[in-house]
Amino acid sequence: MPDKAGWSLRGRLLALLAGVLCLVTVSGAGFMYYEADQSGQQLHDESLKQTGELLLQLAQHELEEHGPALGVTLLTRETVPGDFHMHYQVWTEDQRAAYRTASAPEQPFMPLTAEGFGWSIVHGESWRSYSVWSADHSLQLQIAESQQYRRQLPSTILWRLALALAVLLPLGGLLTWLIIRHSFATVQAAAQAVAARPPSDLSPIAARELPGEVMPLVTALDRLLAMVRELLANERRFTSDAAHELRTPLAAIRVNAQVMQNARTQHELHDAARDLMTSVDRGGRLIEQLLALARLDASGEHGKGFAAVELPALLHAQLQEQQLFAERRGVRLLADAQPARVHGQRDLLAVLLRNLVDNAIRYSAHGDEVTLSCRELDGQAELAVTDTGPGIDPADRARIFERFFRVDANKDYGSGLGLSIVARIAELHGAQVEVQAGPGGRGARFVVRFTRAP
Amino acid sequence: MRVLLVEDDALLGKAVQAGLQQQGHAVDWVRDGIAGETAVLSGDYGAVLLDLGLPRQGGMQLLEKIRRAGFVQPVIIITSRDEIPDRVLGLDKGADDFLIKPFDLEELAARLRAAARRAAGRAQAVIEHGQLRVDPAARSVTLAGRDAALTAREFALLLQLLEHRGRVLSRTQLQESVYNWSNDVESNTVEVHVHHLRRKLGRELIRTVHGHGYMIDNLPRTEAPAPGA
Repeated sequence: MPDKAGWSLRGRLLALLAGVLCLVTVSGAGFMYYEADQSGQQLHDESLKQTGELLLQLAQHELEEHGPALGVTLLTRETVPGDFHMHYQVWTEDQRAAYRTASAPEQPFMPLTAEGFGWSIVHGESWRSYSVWSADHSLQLQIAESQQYRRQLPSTILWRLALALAVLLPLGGLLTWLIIRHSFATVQAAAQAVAARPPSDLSPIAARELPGEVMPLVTALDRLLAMVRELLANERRFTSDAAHELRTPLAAIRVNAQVMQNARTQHELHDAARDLMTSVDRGGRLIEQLLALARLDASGEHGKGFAAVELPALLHAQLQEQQLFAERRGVRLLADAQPARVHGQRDLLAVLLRNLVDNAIRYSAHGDEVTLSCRELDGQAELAVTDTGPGIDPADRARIFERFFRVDANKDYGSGLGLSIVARIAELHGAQVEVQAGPGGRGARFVVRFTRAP
Repeated sequence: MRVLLVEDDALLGKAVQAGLQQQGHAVDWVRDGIAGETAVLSGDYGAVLLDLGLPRQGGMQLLEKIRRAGFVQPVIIITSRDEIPDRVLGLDKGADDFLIKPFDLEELAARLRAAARRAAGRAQAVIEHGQLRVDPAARSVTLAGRDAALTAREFALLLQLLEHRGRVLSRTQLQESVYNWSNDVESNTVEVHVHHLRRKLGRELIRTVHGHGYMIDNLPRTEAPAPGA
C-alpha cells in the first residue's frame, strides 16, 4: 500500500465502486418492488371489479327470483369469521343491506353515494373497496379486499429479493475488490521492485506488464533514471580518468627525484631538479583544471548569476593578462574587437577565453600570431581565437573537446582538460564551440557562437 | 643493455631515460606507437619499456604487432591503468612484466635486469665466468675476489658479451648496446672499451674474431645450468 503520503487510487476506486454497486442494487430492488406492487394492485383491482359485477348480477337475479329478503346474511365458505380476505354488501336504493358476507361490517364500506374504487377501514385494517350500481340503479354492491392480502405477493418478492441481495451484494463487493486488486497488482509489484532496488540499480523500470495509464509516469521515470545513470557513469569515468592522469606527473616527479639522488654531475642534478619542478607544476595545473571542471559540472543550471557581458572588454582584459606569456614565447597577440554583447557569467567567459588563448599561445611557435576577435553577426554574438600555429588535424577535431585528450603528446604541458572546460562553459551559455582551420588553411580557429539572444 | 622506451609523456620519458642511463643502459626514447613499432623492428633492443596510452597507435596494438613480427625480447609495460583485466590482457598479449605509475626507478631497473636474465636463459642474478664474478644489480665486478673498477660503459659492454657467451657480437651490435641514438660515437669506441676491459680483467677474457667482432667463450661447467633452462 502507498505510504503516508498521497491518497490511494485503489482505496478510492474500491469505495466508489462499492457505493455504486449498493446504490444500483438497492434502487433496482426498490423499483422492482414498486413495479410488482403496482401491477399487483391493478390485477387485484381488476379482479375485484369483475367479482363485484358478477356478484351484483347474482344478487339481482336472486332478488328477481325470490323477492326481497332483506337482512339476509349470505353464508359463504367463510367457516371461521374474519379469516376471509374478501367481503361484500348489497344495498338497496333505500339504503338497506340486502345481502352481505358473514363477517362483513354492518355499515357500508363506503358512503353509498360513492362509486368505483376507494379505501375503507375494516376491523382496523385498510381494505380496498369497490362499489357499483345495478343498471336500473336499484341495487348497489360494495366489495372490499384486504390490503394486507393484496400486498402479500410483493412482500414475499421483496423479502426474497433482499435475501438474494444479501448474498449477492457482498459477493459482488468481493469480486470488485479482487478485480481492483488484480488490476493494481502489476503496478504495486513494479513499485515494490523499484523500492527494493539497491542504489546502484538504475536500469529502466520493466514496463512490459504495466497498464498504459501509468506509462507516462514510467516513461518520465525511465528518462530520469537514464539521466542519473549517465551522470553517474560520467562521474565515475571522470574520477577514474583524473586519478590515472595524475599518475603520470607523479611518476615523473618520482623518477626525477631518483635521478637527482643518483646524479654524478652538477649538470645532471640541475637538469633533473628543473624537470622535477616542471612535473610538480604540471601536476598542480592538472589538479587546478580538474577542480575547475568539477565546479563547472556541479553548476548544472543555466543562467545562474548571468548578466550582460561586453565581449570587447572581456577580450581586452584577456589580452593584457596573456601579453607577458605571449611575449616570452615570441608570439604576437592581436585583437579585433567589434561591439558584441552576450548574456552570461563574466568570470566563466573569462576562463573560456583564457583557455583558448593559452592553448593558442602554447601550440604556436616563435613568430606566430594569435588573434582574439569578437563581433555580432545576424544578432548572434561570436567570439573567436585564431592562431597561425600548426593547426589541428581534421581527424582530431572531433575529439579535442574530450576530457584528457591531447593533440600533441610530445609537448610537456597541457592537462588535456582545457578544451573540455571551454566546451562545458560554452554549454552552460547555450553556445557552440567550433574548430576550423585558420585563414588560408594555416593554424587553427576556435569560434564560440552564442545562439541565445543576449 | 640497449633499451627502447616508448612513452608519450615528455617529462616522464626524459626522466626515465636519464635514470636508466645513470645505470649504464643505452636508452632510445620514442613518443608514439608508430615510431615505437619502427624502432623495435629496425633496432636490436635488449628490452622495451612500453606505455599503453600512446598517440597514433596504442601500446597494446604495438605489442601485438611486434610479437607477431617475431620480436621476442622482453617487454615491460609501464601504465597508469592498474585494473586487473588490463594487466591480464597485457601479459596475454606478450608482455613480460607490468609496472604501474608512479613506479620506483630502482624497481624498474631491477625488473629490466630480471627480464634480461630470463631472456638470456639464466635464473641466477649473479653471473660467474671462471674467476670473474659479475653482479648486474650491484653493478660490481670481482676477479678472483678482487674488485675491478669499471666505468658504466665498460660494465654494459662486459655484461652484453657475458649474456651472449659463445656468440660473436659485431662491433656495431656492441656499440648499439652501449650507446643510444643521441650519443656521438667515435668509430673506435668499442675497441677502446675492450682494450680497457682487457687491461682490467685479463687479456684472455675477450677474444677478437677478426673481421667479425668480439666474443667471450663458454667455459664448460663453470656455471651450473639454471633449472629448467
